[in-house]
Amino acid sequence: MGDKRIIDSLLKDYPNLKCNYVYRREVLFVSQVLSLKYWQYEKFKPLLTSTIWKSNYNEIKKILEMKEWEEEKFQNLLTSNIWGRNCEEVKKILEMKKWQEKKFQALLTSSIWSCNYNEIKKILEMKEWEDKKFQVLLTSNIWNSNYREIKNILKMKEWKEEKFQPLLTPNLWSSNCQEIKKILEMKEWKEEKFQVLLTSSIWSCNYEDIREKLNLPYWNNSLYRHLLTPTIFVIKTDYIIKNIEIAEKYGIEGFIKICTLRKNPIDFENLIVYLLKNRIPLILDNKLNPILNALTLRLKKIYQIDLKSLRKENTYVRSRGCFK
Amino acid sequence: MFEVEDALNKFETSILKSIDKENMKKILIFLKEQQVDYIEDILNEYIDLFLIDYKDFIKRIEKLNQKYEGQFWVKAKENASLLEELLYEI
Repeated sequence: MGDKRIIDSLLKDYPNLKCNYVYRREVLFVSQVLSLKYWQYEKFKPLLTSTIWKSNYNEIKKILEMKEWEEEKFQNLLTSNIWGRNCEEVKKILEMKKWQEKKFQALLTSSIWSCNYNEIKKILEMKEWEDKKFQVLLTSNIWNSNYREIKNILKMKEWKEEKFQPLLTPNLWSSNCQEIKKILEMKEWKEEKFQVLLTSSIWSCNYEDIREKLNLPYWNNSLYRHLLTPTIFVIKTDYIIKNIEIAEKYGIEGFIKICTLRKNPIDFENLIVYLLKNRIPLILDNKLNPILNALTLRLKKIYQIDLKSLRKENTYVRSRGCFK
Repeated sequence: MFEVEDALNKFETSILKSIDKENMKKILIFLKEQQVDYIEDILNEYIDLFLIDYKDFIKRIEKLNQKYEGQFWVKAKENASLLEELLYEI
């Protein structure tokens, strides 16, 4: 068991290397790792993070000594998640003949260290990659998934339907077969108003979130129909509801755009109150005043509005629904 | 400055977890090369841009620069809703 005080003093110049785990390691190990000459070289510096403490000294040294790191094509693989692998496996992965095939070259990124050699081999040897429609999925995101999931996903009969083929994008690998099936089988996709949402961005969401959002009452109101874009899957439901409620409170609901939903509701309301206090119209030329959708940098530089100051200075009395 | 707490409150957790670090790094480098001076705003309000695969991202920018006569990033700074076009090819 490492002595916490000694380890802390060894790490005094390396605060980013401190974590609970390091205190379970021997002082000698910590000292040996920090003394390795490789940390002088720029290419190895990204490897010196707290994940290193999960490895052992011999493996760390063998990995750093590998001649492969002299080749430029492997240097982007030098990231700290490599410490989840041992030297023998790292070597086997780098020596795989599949990297010579053009279609697999984009997969050789540092994300690969999340997978083991056998898994990588099985994935690369899948016959499905001979089908051109699946080759677009060959990006390093694939290492977020595993062989069994990948096989099950590619086997799905839905990919034969034309309406689902645009959804065959690498974001798919963030999801799993069961979730993908549930999403594609949702009856909501039969409604015309929701079909525009059937884009690859849905794979970053889970089934429950998608269902909750498609069933918000706003989509039955033609005033809000233009907000039905895939952005609604990205923003938390709470934000969507709050921003629409704020717009309704000030009578500007017919003018908000999809980018309005991305605003922090506190900042959105503070901006509205600021404009009202300064007698600046909320609507200009039948459009929402651009200040209300402006990015923070533009607010500061062009309009001299600092959102942080507005938050501090705000004298809006929310509970009474009025402002001073 | 990137507002971590804001991002956690605003974006679905599944979105944040889905962002591939390597892909994000490539896009950030590209944005710097394009002299985009509002990267922080993009991180705070449009972090889902980093979900787009880097190669696809470049292709979309080329299309949008054709549409906006090489001025996409300048126009998006003035009108943030243009970033929605980058996301969803509206």
